[in-house]
Amino acid sequence: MNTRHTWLIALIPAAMLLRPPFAQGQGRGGPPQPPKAAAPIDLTGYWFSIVTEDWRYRMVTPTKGDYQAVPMTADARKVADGWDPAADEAAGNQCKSYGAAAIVRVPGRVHITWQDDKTLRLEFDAGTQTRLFRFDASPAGDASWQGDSVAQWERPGGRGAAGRGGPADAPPPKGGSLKVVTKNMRAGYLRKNGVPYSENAVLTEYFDVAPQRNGDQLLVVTAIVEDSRYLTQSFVVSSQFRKQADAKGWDPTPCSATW
Amino acid sequence: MSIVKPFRTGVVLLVITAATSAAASAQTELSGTWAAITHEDGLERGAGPYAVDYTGLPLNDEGRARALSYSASQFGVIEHQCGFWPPHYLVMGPFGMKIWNQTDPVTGKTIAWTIGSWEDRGLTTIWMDRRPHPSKNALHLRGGFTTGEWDGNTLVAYTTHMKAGAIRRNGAPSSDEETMTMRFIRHGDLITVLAAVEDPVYLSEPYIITKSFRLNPDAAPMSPVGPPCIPTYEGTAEGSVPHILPGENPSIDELTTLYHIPRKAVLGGAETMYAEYRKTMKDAFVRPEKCPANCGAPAPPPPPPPQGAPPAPPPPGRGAATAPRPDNPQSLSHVDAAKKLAGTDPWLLSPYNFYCVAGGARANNANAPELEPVRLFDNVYAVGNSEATVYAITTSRGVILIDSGYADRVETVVIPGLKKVGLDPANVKYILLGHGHADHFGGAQYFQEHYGTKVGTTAADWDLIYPANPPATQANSNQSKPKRDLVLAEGQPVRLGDVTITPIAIPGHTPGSLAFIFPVKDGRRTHMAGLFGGTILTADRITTAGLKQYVQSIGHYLEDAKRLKVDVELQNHPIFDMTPDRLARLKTRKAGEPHPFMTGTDRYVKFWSVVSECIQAEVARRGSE
Repeated sequence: MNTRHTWLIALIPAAMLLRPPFAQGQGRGGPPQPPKAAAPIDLTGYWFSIVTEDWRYRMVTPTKGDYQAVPMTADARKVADGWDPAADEAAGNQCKSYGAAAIVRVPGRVHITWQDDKTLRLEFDAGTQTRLFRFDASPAGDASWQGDSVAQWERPGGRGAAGRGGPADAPPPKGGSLKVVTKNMRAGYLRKNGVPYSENAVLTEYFDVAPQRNGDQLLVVTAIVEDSRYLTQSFVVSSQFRKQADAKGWDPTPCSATW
Repeated sequence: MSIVKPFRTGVVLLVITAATSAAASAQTELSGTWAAITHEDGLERGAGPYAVDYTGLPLNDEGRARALSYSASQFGVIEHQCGFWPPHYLVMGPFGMKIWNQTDPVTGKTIAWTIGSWEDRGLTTIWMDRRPHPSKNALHLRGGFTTGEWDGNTLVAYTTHMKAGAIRRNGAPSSDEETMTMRFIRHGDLITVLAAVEDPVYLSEPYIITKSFRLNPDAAPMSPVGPPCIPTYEGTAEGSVPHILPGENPSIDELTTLYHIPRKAVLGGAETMYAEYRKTMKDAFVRPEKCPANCGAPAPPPPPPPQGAPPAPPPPGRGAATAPRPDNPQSLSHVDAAKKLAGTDPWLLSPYNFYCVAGGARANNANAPELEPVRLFDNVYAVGNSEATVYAITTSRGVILIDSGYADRVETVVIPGLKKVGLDPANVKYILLGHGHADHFGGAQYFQEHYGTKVGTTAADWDLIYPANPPATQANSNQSKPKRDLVLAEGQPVRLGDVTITPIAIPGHTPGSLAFIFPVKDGRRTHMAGLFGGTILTADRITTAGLKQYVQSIGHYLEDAKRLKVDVELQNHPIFDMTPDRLARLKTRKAGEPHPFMTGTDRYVKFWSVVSECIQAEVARRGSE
């Protein structure tokens, strides 16, 4: 090659470096990177709830019998009609409305960190709850409020994507989502006033980061609860959080069945 | 010039393209009909929020003051009827969405995504061709001006140049300086739309809201333009401007009364969006013993609707469902009277439960299943939609239709329905309208044009169909309007062959609503049917004067019903008279069994008296407001 063009050889790898950093994850040959290193989005940090929806069901304890918009079965209604928060407290079940299927709806803060290369840790100050999102499926233990969560990154190009084409080893486009499927939960409440989900419920969540024009970072969590015993159809809600720079306002509080 | 230079330039461009193409190429297919999922903010995205409920809204003082001055009756004023909501209605309103892309015919590239309009939400075009937003002095449009770009798999749309409107369906305002960023985030058959609304005039912080939709490829596609808006007459006097003066909003304490939510929280503000605010209420809040109103359906809800709309779309007309007003001795006496009239008769309890029980009433659902065409009597057939029904009356000289259903279903539902029961659509001589709303007159123009059918309604409702000064949204609307043929009036029966139909004036729902009384044949027996063609379904949206007029109309109608011995009850919105149950019984009726639609005159009168008492209870609740 003409030495006048050797700069081109240097330019091409340099250009590759200009690609979005998260594009250099899995599928590029060689051993796959651990989930932490391959993360297409950064979920870590402190996030606080923005409660602009279902305000009456989230910011105060809703009244008994207020089931607006929840696709409940007749069995669910019977259970909810018998809601007794004092009995829950007495039985040590004050965390029933802080389980995995509901905790994201509880106003408060969530602190997300990497526990290790394969596990995301979500700590919630409301109810002092912790969820672990494992990227390697681990054997299920006893049922718990937060259940067992299996996580995977979703990148552009998965289901629903279209119109890209290009070489098979083309770098993945930027961005992506976290998909989490949670099972093995203890039976709990979707809403504080006793709207139930059963121990067989399956929770699927998508975590998406949304940068805003004003520089804010928002987190959107779309949650789908499936429970043939207590729901006539999938229950779908989406919750939003804003990122904050530090732990200001972090206020761990115990579960309460009455407030 | 050496050939090396252009080569070098080309390689540089190639390299730059390679370096940046990843971000530019990511896209997601969004096209399709997406049904609204209304599992959160069920009231706000269904029947409508309480009149004063600004919880979780970052209103500033100006926004709050403006919101408190709002009266939903503004939409009863002709200038405001069928006014569109700003594009943020996509996420705060009830409806689904239809999205499609527009491609460049040469390159095949998507140059825009379009979100179809739906009833009172305008069409939104998201331009993807990097065109700039217009000057800030440019015309503001109902659909605003929107540009978009991909951020990975997420479509990010930025909207400016909207018209002023409301940020919540109870009149909390939005200004024409509002801007909005929407992110369309798709996961499989779900899309979550995140909207960040900024409004320097009425909001102190961005209003962040999300709504999810589900793709249903098996559903009939939504129309790209949606159904025509149905103007709602509310009895608003000409020249009046509905409003509420400062300090006089009668609904300001409804949430406090019903749910014990502090008034300060009810009035909103940015602080009410955050968890810290919850702590400020903890010590003072006392949870009500039981749910006072809008508690959710007691029965399991229906499966997701087929056409992108929620299970129960809001009533015709606009704005918030007024929260149930507290009862007083006078209102309770009317409720008791209705209860006594109904007794234990399930058919009479049906209107009682609909009108007298809080949360029982609802508007007809445009997406309700189509009716299985049926012969009700020897000379009466029912076709069309199960909640906006068309009746066909056969005579010795042709067929008379009462109403004609929705315009977009005349060819697909009404005509095939008539044929299915053995009637020739070309033999329809008259269409008589219960009142001048589009779910009743929509199919009439087709009959006029194809079969020479004459269409009749009252002079007042012809004026409603063709207002002297139509709002801009109607002037060029896609409404299919019949031409003015016959002017009907009480005292002027309609005769065709061997059948005479007696129209009775029942103003209230519209100024020219009509009831029709006509003979029906069941074997050798002839009965008299009454079809009350101007039913108010959602009384909470009607002015007190309008309700009083309606009560008078029921009384007036019942005089004639008694005189003419009406003993068969029919409804063009049959959602509170057990019609599905009666149709089922008709299907299995055996010889000698009574006709399920035959009520007897006494029960018929009681039926409408129950309705009247419930409406009077609502009037009494309002007192002198």
